[in-house]
Amino acid sequence: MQVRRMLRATGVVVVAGLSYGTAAHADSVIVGTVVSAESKKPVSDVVVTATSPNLQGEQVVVTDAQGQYRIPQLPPGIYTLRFDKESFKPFSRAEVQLRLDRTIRVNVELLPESFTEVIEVTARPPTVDIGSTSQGVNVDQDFIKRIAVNRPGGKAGATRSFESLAELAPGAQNDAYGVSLNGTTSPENGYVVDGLSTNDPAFGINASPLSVEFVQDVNIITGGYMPEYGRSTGGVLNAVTKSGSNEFHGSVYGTVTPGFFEGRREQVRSAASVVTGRNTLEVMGDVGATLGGPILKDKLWFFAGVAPSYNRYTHTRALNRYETTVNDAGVATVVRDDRGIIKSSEIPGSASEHAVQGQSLQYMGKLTYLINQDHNVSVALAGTPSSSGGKGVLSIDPQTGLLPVTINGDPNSAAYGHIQELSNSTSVALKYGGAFADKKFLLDANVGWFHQAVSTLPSDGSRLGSTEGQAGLALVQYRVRRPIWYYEPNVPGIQALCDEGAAGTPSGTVACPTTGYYSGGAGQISDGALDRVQMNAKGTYMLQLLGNHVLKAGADVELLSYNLTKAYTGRVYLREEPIGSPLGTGVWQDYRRYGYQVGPDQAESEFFQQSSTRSTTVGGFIQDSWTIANRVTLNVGLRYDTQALYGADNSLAFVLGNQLSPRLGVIVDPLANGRMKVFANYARYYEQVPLNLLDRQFPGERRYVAYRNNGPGKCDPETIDTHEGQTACLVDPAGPEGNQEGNLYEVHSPSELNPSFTHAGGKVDRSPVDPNLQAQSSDELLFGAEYELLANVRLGASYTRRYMNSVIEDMSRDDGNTYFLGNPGEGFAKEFPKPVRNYDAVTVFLNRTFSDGWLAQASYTWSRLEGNYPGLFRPENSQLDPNILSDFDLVSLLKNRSGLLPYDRTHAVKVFGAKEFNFSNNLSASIGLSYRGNSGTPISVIGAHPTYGPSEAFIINRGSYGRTPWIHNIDSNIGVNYRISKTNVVSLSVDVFNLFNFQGVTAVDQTFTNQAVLPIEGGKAEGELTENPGQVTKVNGKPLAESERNLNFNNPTQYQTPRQIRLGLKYTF
Amino acid sequence: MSKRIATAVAIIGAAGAISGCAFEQPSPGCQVQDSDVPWQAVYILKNPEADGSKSCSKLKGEAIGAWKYVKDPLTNPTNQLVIRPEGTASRFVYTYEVQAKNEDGTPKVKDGKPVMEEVEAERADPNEIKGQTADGRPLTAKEAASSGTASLAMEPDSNGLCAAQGFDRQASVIATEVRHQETNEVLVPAETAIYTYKNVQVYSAAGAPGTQLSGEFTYSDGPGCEVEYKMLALWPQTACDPEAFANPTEENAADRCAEGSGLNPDFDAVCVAGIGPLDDDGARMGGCVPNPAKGVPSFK
Repeated sequence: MQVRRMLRATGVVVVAGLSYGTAAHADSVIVGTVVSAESKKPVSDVVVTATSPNLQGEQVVVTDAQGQYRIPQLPPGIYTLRFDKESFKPFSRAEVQLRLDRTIRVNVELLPESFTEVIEVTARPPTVDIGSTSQGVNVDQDFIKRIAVNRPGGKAGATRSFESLAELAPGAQNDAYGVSLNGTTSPENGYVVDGLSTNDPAFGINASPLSVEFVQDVNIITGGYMPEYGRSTGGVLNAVTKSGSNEFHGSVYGTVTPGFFEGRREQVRSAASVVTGRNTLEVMGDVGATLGGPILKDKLWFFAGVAPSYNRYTHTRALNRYETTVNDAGVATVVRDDRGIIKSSEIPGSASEHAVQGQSLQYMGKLTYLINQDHNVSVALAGTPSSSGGKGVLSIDPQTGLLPVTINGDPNSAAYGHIQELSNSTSVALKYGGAFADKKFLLDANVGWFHQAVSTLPSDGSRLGSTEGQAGLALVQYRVRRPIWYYEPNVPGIQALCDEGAAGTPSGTVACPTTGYYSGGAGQISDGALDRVQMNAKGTYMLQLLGNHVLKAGADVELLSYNLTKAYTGRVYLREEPIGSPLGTGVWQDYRRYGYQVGPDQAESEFFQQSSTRSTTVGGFIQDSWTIANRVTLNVGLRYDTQALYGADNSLAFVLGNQLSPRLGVIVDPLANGRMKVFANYARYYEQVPLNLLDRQFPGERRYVAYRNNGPGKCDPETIDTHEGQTACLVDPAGPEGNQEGNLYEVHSPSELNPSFTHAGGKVDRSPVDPNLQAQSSDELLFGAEYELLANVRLGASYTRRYMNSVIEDMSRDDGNTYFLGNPGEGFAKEFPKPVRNYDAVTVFLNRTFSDGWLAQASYTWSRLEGNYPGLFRPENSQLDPNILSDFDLVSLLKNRSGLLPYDRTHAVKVFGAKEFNFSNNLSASIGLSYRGNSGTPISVIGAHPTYGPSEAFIINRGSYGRTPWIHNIDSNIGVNYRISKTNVVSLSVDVFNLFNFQGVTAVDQTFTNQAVLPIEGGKAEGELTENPGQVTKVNGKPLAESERNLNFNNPTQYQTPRQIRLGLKYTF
Repeated sequence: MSKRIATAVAIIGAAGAISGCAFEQPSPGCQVQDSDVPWQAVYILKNPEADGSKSCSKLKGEAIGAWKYVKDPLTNPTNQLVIRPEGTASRFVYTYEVQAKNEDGTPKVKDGKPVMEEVEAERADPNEIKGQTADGRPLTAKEAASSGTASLAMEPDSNGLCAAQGFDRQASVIATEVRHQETNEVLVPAETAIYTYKNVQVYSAAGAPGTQLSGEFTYSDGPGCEVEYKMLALWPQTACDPEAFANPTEENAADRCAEGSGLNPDFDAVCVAGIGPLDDDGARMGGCVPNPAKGVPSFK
């Protein structure tokens, strides 16, 4: 490109991706040097003025004696820079794109008034960020507008939350609770909105699903970051909300994803049960409005937004009859098709429809006040109250966004449709940004309060611990194999239809069998409040000493608290012993019950359990980004944190002190022109322990177990899901009022060494903590290179290795009666295997930022994730108990547990492209296409553990039973924009997700058996395991029978989300 | 410039000073490992010269259950300790083998070998009322086989020991003799076992939370014989091979109470013959116990 100009901008160089969460909403910087075009000497006292639609007022600085200037604390946006000085011609440079958390360099040559020579500009400014090793992507409204993002459904799908943008980054993939970055789990990420953390204090997941409509810019940092970011062992998702400016701007918008556009959903069939479930989307959408502008011009501005969202599905539940045949011995067996799937047909009249519903209202308001040129304050309030479920309505899991899959139970019981899930978050943030000493020293400070109210309560209004209504009715699980008509006799003709006509088979037990059927009450209910108070301050100092230094130092304090009251409805969760149980078929167990033993067989049953726990984290960092001769940048830093955690008994539970996180990066620009970099980075990341662990173990949940005699008048399966039946089962009529000590079954004989004969458990101890407990951390090594191939086109490659250092987990040496907290493989847990999670990934990418009407991003990642430690939740069963997962609990659980981890995906391809067409000055359109393809996940073969129950024993080595198939997904976006006037635009958009309605299998049933089994020694099966289940030994020493195998093993349990079309209309002014 | 550097140095120095802090984890309180996996105890006569020849001085060691309970855990917690020794619990039932019979009453033989079956003979009615508990409830025989409750300290003393004081009842059993159902031969005579515990101390620290204990008891096998024993026990009960213990090699570590045995590898445990769990043939294996030379706690 040749432009005839009297002046030139010599380059826009991103000198450092020096990012800092705490001041992020105005933390970008423009620096540069002004020289005379004639003499090439620095020009001092040039007035540099920055203006932007995103900037309140304007920012003015003056160059120093070296001609250098620095405009700090800028919000991201498109800037115009003006350079004025007497005797020089004024110069203005427009379209300077400043991204979140970036420092860019704009060097300028000014032309003396007398000067007339023509200078040719032959190149565009480089786009390679030569000052930083940070990996990830920065997503702005340009991208969000043109590419189909925020898929409807899933977690916060209707609200179009910012966190779902993280999956755009190479090395990212969706997991059960958000987005997994570089082999870590989503609760390990740091979620930051306007400089303050929005991680759930108890579980670590993102608790504020803020709409992308309120967000200016999202920076997804997957690795290689500086010490100003801490307390996260995953990546960092840093969002900055919009602010008002001197002009009134706003938008009114709505999106809708109607159910009738939805593609056909492949139905999940469960061969182990005759119950099927199908979810169809009715409607999902949000409407909203934003407005920003001045209250006092150049002084006080506001931004406000409100956005209600709604989603509703229909769950259609139906019963099936398996096709059966009768053999010569008069025994019925099921008939399978050529794929080995049992042939079945829907039982007429068995289908029923159930609503699944959730709603949310998002709001935010922000005031920004400019005290003077150098000092500003802002205050922001945001909230995302959400609810789901209710009377006769099924709920959407608030943590995962998942819908009910199959309702293997009474759909009209409180076990399903009568629970109200509430999850409200509210945040208040106060921010100060100041510059001192001619903007050489900058100070940013934040104070924030983040409050959550989370509850799971019966919809009839009955309270925790009540004996009335739904809160007084216990959840019941039947486990004896029975025909489905036993539970649902009202389906017309079902009993006759299910009869196999086989003399040797109890009627209906082969054609319509079911086990694990639920009924009765809701089970565990809870009411909780969580708070996070944060205070942080950071100073930045520029220094010239053998090169350019940007020194930063900061300190921050976080106070977390978690108050939770929890109960089992009816005080207990009752479970029937299955056929063949050593205790006797049909005996009932108080499987979950809060309470404790004050002496042998003297049990105190608790109506509810209340606990209040908290933690204090204090930390700080110091870092220097030192650029030498425009060729080498050294990023050196150190972070320090200490977290003290206090249990529900108000005393110190444990302290994770002296967490020192060194970060060391080197970036070489071999050509010294900002078009290429080769880099390496080492970083240590520490975890901030979420409070759920304190709630569960400091002191431990007080819980005991009892067994009950079955039969009429006792615990009778006919009536046990009713108040009356549960009274007959649980209450001793001779005992005191309100007792639940009836029909006790003697589980310990007098010959045993337990002084209790009918009760077990009920301990009240705090978890012992290894005196040498080390905080949990992981290390990252990163090598890479980037090269600017063409204007705005970058080609890059990187290698990432992540591995765990110490891991905090709970462990038990006495079959789960007592636990201690320690570092597996270290300290007094040295006989436990060391937790391993090794992630190796190679990424190649090609990026073209949006310019000249088009953008493109393509990446390919090869990765391998192996070990025995998945992270802060257990992918096999979605257990979200950070640092107290069941994985390391017992040595007996750990056999065969090493292997490919569930989120191992060998290949991942992501391609995004968009092109804009201008039909006239007022009418434009854009088309965006994205492709995501990845290989499947490893399959494990899992059985039950005698005390831990299903999904806990790895029969063969983890992840060694092949993989699920490749998944392909193509999304598209079409947008039409019509400009009514200079600032008023109407936009219509159509996002099509899963354009071709691919229905790949995304998950299979990994449960080989629900029997308690022993892992196979050596971790390898002989031949095909499904054909020879007898090589698996049950805990009682007998071989596993074919009839005890889960018939649904390795069958699909989840398919890709079908095609969905989202229509959007937006008016911006 | 020098001022700037000085500032930076001061900040680094402050961070260094903070990181020099040592953090200690708080005590988890007095804990006792009680589960269906028992403790292994070894018994040592207090006065071997005076008592060595008595009928009740033959105890060498056995499995015991040591159980902690907490009264009023939420507002005013107090710890309780109960001990149930194998010597009482095991005397409710006697099991022996007889040759199974065919339907016509002839002895059952398969492949030329007699087919055996187990006979369980009850020696004491577990539900017989034997008196009253300390809080006034009727005391059944199966309950009487456990000691009464002692009050256990809430926090360990400076040596890490949690004292259990004042057991409010003996652990006792009175078992009838058992005669062979066919030969009428006396298989086991009528027996009485009474344990009176005192000075029990449980070692409890984060590294070994309630996994070693020591104590004393008076044992009586009926009127006329009473001797005093010292007891050392550790948890969990772990079988061992005395020969391996006497001839240690790297390979037999798991058989001599060391690494791989299932015990805390830091324990200094010794293998005592004939006090451990029963093997498949009904013979007593060796059991790992705290080193009597060190007492409790016994660490390497």
